[in-house]
Amino acid sequence: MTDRIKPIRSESTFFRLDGNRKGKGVVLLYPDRLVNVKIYVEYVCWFVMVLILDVVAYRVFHVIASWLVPFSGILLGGLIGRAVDRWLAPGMVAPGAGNTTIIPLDEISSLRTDRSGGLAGLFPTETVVVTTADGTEYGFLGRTGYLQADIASALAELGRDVRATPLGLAVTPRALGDGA
Amino acid sequence: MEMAESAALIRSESARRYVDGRMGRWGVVLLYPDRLASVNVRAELWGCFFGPVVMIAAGWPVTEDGGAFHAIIGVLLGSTIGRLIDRRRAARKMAAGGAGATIIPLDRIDSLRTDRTTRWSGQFAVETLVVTTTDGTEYGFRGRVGSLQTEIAGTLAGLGREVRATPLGLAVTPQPVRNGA
Repeated sequence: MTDRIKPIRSESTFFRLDGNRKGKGVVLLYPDRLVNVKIYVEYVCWFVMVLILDVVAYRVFHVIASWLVPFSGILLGGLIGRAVDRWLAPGMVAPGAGNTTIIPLDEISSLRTDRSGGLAGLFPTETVVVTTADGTEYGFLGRTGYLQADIASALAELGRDVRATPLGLAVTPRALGDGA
Repeated sequence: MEMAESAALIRSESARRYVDGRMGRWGVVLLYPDRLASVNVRAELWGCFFGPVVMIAAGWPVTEDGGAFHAIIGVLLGSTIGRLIDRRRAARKMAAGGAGATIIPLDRIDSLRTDRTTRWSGQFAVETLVVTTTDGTEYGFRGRVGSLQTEIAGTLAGLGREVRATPLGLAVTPQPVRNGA
């Protein structure tokens, strides 16, 4: 039941449901749905890279280079881990499984980005908040970049009317037609 | 002159600016309630150069063998501090009148889109926010400016403009021509 279709976009994020933390994973945007998959390979990469760099530091420099090794290990491990997470995530999509949350694009009623300054704007954090017609708020915290604009474009592709408002992007509800 | 002082800065981001795909310039893009501005500043580049030098010099007496690690941390720390300096300098330049800055009045924005080039099967991407004005000029901003696109759209909506999503990006409905406009 895995879903190996290539997504339009994938980003490594922390997932929130109605403001509550629900773990770390990858958000995948498909033409008709948004999918969140819980995956923690990044943490494994942190650990492995810290170990590798410790061995390198000891062999090459003959020192355990104090805080620099774990710092560099986490940095490099994060970079590699995020890429691995995003590569593995489409294969782990399993509808109905505990690790997968599916949001059909049809149910989205608004999109906004909550932004926090973080140390004088040096390390800002952004959360893309997707609200569905039933009022549920799904949050994606991380380097979401252009995710909000991409979801809007995917909705426009589906024929939905998405307009900018000062608070974010509002999706006009689909008119109830025959059988809709 | 007074306009520059009164306008509150909504957001600023380090970005490389292009005009019609050419003339890449390092600087900062600033969003004000009525305009988008791009100011050329280069402290981030200097930070990338001097950060490793300072870190290696500072760490030399303690761990003289750890040069490579010091250099990596130096680049990160130097560029972060440089970015902070860049944003402050850019905001000050704009407050002082914005001499030499590129100003794009929000009234003239026609559309917003993202150009994306990917590497390694989409694992690494370079994205450019492209702002097209009514005269057809395309201003590109390359950097971590992801949500700036929807923030510009929100500001335009606040000005009473209609901004709609299209499969290619965000389109701004032209302002109706009024008497004297």
